Amino acid sequence: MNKNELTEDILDKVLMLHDQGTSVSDILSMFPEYSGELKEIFATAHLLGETAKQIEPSLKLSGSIVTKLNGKRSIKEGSFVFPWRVVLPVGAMALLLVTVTLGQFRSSTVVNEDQTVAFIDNQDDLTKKSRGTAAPEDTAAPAISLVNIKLTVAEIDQEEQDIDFGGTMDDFFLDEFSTAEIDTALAEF
Amino acid sequence: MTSWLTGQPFYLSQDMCIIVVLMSLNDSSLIALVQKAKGGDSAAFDDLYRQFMTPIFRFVFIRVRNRADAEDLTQTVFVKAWNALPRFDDREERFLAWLYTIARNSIIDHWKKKKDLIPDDPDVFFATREAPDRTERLAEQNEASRLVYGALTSLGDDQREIMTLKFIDGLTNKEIAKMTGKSEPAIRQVQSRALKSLRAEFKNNNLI
Repeated sequence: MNKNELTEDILDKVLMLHDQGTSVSDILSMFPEYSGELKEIFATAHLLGETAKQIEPSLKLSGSIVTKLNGKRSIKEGSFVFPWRVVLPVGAMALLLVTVTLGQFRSSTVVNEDQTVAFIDNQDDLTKKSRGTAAPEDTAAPAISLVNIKLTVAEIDQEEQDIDFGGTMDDFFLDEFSTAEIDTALAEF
Repeated sequence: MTSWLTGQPFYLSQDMCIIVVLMSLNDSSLIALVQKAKGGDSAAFDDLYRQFMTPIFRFVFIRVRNRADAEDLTQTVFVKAWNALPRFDDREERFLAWLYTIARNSIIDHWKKKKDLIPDDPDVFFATREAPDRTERLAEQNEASRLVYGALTSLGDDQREIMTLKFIDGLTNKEIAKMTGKSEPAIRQVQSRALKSLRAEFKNNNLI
């Protein structure tokens, strides 16, 4: 064994060579004057690795990892990912469509003043018909022409009082009659 | 230890061991296995974790010093690896080095959550699968292991971490540099000083 002291520079070079894949025997032959000390250094490193090899996981660890991963996989496979990217735009379009359709529906149910008055007359007429007091159809038809009927606001108020249903005209028409009923009623005259 | 004392050129066997490890890690079959696992092949991933479970357990155990926590963390590492596998690029790093990085981050999270960790008794620390039947040989082996572990823990945090990564976990200095954020010369300097210190300690205890 030589008496040369292993400096940090030499050791650094040795470690670099070892890290690059140079074999221990080659390194020892490259630095024969430090071979004794270098053997101890490599023995130290070897002992660390050998000691760590005594550390082993329990046999159950392998099984529990399988279980855990299987659980994770089944969650992954069974899980439903909501397709927000598709549903959101489609939903927005559907909502827009519904809004537009509803708007059109409402505008079709709004009747102007003339139509309203005409309908009131029709309704009176229908009431009379149901009571058996209605005039024959051939004579009643001209009397309910929309063109001939002119009522003032005061007259409309009077009509409201006559009807006496406890609400406004708007409430009455919107709540009590569907478009289909209005159309049916108008069609009869 | 024994190989050194019996005159067997252990350094050659150690060197061969390193070569074998490197060869197995760069093996095309391993790369193929990783590729399969990346493609969602769970059987391939099962093979991978059977192959790497022990080194990962050791990596974690040495750092957390508690068997139960180490086993929990080992499981966590593989679950994280399974989830992150599509992002793993085998052209950039070795699979084991990638697993070590996940393990290291998991340990950091573990320390943040569990500051009052109670380390296992050294006997438990080095317990092998056959350990409950304490023979004289195992007792001697455990005594040597305790001394080695004691010397390792007496090092500073940086030295212990770099020595463990290099000589226990088998990483290259380049991989250690990437993992720790230090330069390769700085890493070699730490290794050089720590090896000298450990050599003196081991010689005092007749371990080498």
